[in-house]
Amino acid sequence: MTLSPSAPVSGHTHRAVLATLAVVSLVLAWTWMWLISAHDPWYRNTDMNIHNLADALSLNSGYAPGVVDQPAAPTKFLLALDYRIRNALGLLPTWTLKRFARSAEPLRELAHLVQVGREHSRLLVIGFILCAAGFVWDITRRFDLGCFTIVLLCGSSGLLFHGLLVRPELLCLGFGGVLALHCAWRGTVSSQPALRSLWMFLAGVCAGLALLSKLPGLFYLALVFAWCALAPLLPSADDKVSPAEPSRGWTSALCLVTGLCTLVLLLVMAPDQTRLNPVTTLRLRGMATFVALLPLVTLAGARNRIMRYLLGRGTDLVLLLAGLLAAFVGWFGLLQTVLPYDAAMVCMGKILNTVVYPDPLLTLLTHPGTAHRTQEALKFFLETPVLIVGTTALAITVASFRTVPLRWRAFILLLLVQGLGMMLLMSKRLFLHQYSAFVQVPFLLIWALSFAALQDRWLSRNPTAPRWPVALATMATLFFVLTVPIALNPKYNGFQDDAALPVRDLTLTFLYDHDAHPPAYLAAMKKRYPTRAEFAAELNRFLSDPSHRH
Amino acid sequence: MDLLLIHLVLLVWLSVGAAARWTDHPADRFLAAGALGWANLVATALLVSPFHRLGQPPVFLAVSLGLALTTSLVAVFRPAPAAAPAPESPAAHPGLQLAALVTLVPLALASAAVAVSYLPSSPDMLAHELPRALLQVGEGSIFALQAPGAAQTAIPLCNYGLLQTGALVYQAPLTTLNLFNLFGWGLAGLAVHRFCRNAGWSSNGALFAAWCALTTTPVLAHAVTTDHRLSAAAALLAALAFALDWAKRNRSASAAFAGLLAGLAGGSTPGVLCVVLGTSLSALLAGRLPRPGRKVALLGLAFGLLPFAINLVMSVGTHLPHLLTVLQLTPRNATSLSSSLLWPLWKVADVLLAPTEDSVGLGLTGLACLVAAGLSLTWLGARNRLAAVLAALALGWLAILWGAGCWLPISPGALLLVVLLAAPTLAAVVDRLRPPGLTLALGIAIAAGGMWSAQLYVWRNANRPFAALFDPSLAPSKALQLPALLNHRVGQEQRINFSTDGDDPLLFALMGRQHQLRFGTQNQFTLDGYNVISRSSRDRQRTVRQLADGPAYLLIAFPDKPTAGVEFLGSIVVGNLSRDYLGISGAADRILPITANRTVLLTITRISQAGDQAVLRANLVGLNPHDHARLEIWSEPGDGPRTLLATLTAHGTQDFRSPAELRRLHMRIVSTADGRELGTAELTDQAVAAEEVEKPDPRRLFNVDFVTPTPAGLIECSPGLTPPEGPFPQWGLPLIRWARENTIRLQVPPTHGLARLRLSFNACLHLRERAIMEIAANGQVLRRLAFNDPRTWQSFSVDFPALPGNNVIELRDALLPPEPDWAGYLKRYPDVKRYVELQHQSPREGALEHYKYSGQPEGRTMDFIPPPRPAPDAFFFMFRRLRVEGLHP
Repeated sequence: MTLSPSAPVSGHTHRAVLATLAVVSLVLAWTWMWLISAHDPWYRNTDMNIHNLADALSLNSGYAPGVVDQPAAPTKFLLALDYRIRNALGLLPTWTLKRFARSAEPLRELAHLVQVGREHSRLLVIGFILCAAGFVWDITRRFDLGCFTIVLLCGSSGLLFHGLLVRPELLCLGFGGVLALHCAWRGTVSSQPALRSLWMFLAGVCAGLALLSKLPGLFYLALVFAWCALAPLLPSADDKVSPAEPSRGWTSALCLVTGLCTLVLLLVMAPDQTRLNPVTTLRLRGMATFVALLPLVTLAGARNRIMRYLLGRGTDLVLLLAGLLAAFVGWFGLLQTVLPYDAAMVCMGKILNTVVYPDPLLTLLTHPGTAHRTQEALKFFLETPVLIVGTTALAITVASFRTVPLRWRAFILLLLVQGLGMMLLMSKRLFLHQYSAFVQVPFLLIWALSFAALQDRWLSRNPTAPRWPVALATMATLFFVLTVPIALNPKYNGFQDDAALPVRDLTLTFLYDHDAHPPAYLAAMKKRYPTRAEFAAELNRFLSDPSHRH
Repeated sequence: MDLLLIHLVLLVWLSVGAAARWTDHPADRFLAAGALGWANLVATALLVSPFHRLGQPPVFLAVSLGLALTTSLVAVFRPAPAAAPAPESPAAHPGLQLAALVTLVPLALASAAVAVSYLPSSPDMLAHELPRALLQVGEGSIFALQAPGAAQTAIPLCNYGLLQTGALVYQAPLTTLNLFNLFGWGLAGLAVHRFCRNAGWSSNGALFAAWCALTTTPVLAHAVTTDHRLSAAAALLAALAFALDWAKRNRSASAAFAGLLAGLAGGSTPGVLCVVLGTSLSALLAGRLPRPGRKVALLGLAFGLLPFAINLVMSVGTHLPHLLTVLQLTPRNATSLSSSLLWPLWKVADVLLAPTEDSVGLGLTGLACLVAAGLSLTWLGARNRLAAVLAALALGWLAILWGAGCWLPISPGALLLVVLLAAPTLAAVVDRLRPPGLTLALGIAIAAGGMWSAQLYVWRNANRPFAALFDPSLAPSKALQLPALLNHRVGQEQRINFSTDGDDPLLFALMGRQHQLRFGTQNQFTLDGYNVISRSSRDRQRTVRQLADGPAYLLIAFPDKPTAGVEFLGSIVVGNLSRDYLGISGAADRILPITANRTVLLTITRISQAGDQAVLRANLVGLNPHDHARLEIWSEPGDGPRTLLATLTAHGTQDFRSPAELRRLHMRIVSTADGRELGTAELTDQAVAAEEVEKPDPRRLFNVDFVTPTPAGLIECSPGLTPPEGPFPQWGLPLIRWARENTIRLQVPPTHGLARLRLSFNACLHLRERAIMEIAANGQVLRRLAFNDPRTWQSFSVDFPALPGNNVIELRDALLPPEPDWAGYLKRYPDVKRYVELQHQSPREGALEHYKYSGQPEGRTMDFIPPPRPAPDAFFFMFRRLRVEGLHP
């Protein structure tokens, strides 16, 4: 999909200005995150962050992680990889639990590891912004819109907040809300059947990685399939070559291999019946068999348009599921590279039980009375009311313009559904600031795409007009970026009750003896600080020096 | 299970790949792939059976995949020669296709959900097919099984069962067995469609026919069962479709598939076998089949029937007589005959109630298929000969079924073949109707009707309700529970050998729980593994006079038995059927006994009658060489001396003649060393004293028995009354329940019209010498019942006015009055003690008598002590009957 050919080509100066603005935005974003992180005590927000940190150390030691609730598998793996690389570069001596247990002063090491973790997250945030910009660039095929997206996302407080955390939401959103949708978009515009199959499969893999990051990642799979179902119904007048249906050969090969690999994975995990819940096993077996056999239906062919459409969507679905399963199998392979066989088995069992049979966990997390859904949804709204109202109005406005290609309008509405859907989904739990990104990112992408659509409309009416709307919007957004500290401030400073000394009990639990930590971490802490009281005393003594707090 | 899925996935893909080279239509490809896959499993079983390797998953997998790969390679290098393409015809109406898809896909998904959620439950299959599959896996061969029960192994048609065997080789969950017919259901629809298309009928008509066939309730009901008839009927129809293609286009590949599918179908079920043989012969004799391809068709047919032929040859001498007994070819009475004749009609109404796969009617589309067959035979007769022939085949088979209804009960499964054969005629009828708009409307109406009855069946199924998957409260009662001891013993072993004196329809209930074990079929005691012996519970109570009706078995107590013997493991009761299970380890001679297995099992069977004398066979199990004992069987005629009839020194069988006037058989276990008697038992001509038969009270409003295998839950009972246990023939105990608390509360809910309540029971003490039971109703003590002998069962009955609300009956263990301390009395007065000893009286009675007549007048004193109280969770009373009846005024 490209804009109308009448759009004039951007000049070098124009590109250079926009690229500079984008780089400045990125530098500013990095600076905000670094500044706030540098002044924020390392022992704040310890709940899931410290779990992921301990699990990353555990992975580097060859131990299976502790209790897995939100799996956060890619988060832990990437963090573990970061620790390894830094160690190889001589920047981080403590990169395993064994080293941590042997260290002279574990608290100092912990503080350092948290700071490294935050630095790692900042890198991921920047990477996320670049991926999203690439996504917009790929849709619009316009450099200025890509830069505009960078500037926009650098102004997202919800996204930049993740620079302080080591949590799975960022990767969940990145894999599901950006990469999976990107792959699905590429698949639906691809004119080659083989490429279409591969892109759909990759979309499934990304959705699988989103699910491996956090359970709401499954929503993105539904969203991707919704786009696959919708896209063939939306012909675009601009397309010279009509999009292809998935290739039979590639679909069959991908699905058969993935299905068989999943069954082999289950086979090797079967001897220890306690590893996998029977429901998990049943669901995985069902999915694997479905994925391996359903491509046979494509051999039947269809002789009318409706059946062809249904057959095509069935193929898309099976490719997405194959991708999802491939993410699981691939993850197991990846774990094998860093963990001994038994530990990898245990770890994979925990992950699969969580993501394939999340029912007990979801019942626990969304227990009636835990959160009032309307109130929690309202908190999302109250955090960025202008963005939500403005974006909704903008999306509806753009969707009402007939001159904007139908496929664009549908995609913008799909992003709106993504943002609102995640808002409703996450409002089943108590609102947390790290969830804001789930809403803000798709809404900001809507702004980018809407500007592209509006500018296209403007240029189609005034072919000789300059591209000032994007430049203007970029400048306006840059001002918006400069206001990020104001937006970020409440997130960092809103709940400072865990910053004061002596440290509160909950922080002590997360740092010392939370039952979700891997046993080796608990043992290391116990060995060094035999009792909780001793640990509390030591921690308070350590933090009494202000230089140890940041 | 995962290995099975890997196997099946690869097999399906390789079969589809091979079929793609030999067929040119996508639907034919699937039918051919089904045939190749099925044939592959049959061939694998045939290849590994001679080496007894059927039960070894790696061997089975390797051979099967090797065959599949070879077939694919052959298909690649020897594809079918290109034939003249079939004439292109307009596709079915898109709306019709969509409607069929929208209705059939949910049915398929619902059926799949039911299939993976419920265990196989078809009684016939549980009794015959599945035990046979497990036994084949256990023996490693599909041939020459020595039957634990004739019905499990005597029927030599096993092609469909080999699919189940294939799954059980991998120890797959039993729900997997439901899935084969789901594939069969899909292939049945394809086969109907292809038959119609090959016959030259319109696409719309073909789609209607397939749609209706799939929504016919007998077909749908069997989509998630383990019944062989659906897949066999589908294969037969597919064979007919290929035969049509062969006849029209002279394709040898079609001929081969026609023959192969016909053989596989015929080798699965007798009905289809008859149709296959009849149709094949008729077609050959009529010269309707082209000469090219006859050889491969016959080869395919022969291959499909090969397991049947081998089994028939190997079992004809041993199992055929049993088979005839199993079939019980006795004329049925007039009522059942009339119900058989009218079955398809009156059962239609049943679909509105709570149908099961064994009671479901034809459904609306089933009736439509039959009507279409009737129209094809009459109205279309001359215009469409093929439809007329097919209709004649379907209706002729229906007539045969109705005729056979005089001897055999007709089940919905029996009508599957009729419905599937009749279904294609619907296409012929639809094609004749004009104008097309009406055809469409009529078709949609019929299909919608079928869908309506199909969804009713799916939702209201009494055995496997789909709704219960969403609302667990709608789930049917739980599956049969095995006795705990039986479950425990079987669970401890790796290999089980079954031995039964007849058919055991409950065998699968036992085998299915531990289907990962390997089961043997030696009908005698074996040293390899653990032996489970199955006997009818009725055989336990049989008398000498009743030996003509069946065998009798006894457990002979051998209290000082040095080695392990036979242990009574429990009974399984389902309706009127009751089987006892006994167990003995193969290594019993080397194992020390426990209290429960110091017994030997003797089974007496009458073999024949020679004049006045009967020839009896004694089968002994549990007497080991290290017992150093022998069993003697003595006759006790009416008058005359005892005669030694037989002597058995170890496990084994011995035949002997009984005297003409046999009144009693007396069994003695005697020591081989000194002739000392070690145990005795008798088989008398008196029936075991049955419970007194009571006339039901005409005022009776309800009657709740608590000591039954499955007590009704109408009256709430406190947990102090344990669940029913037993029977325990080794201790002479029937089914019993224990009172394990000192008070048992029975709460009768408010009942309209209830005026009086009657409580009756038959109870006995356990361990204690004396006790008093206090019977109270609504707080009022009605009676204090004294138990003075631990060996005596006491019966008691009382009725009392009922209160309007809840009525509470309590059975309490009352405090005994203080007991005279006779031991202390004798200790205190040594002269009395000497006197009692001189009188040879028991100390208790002597002391009490002395105190009463002499001691008290002399001023001697006797203390009274309270009797010891049993522990709170002791066994207080044992009930073999406990009943509460509600009475009208």
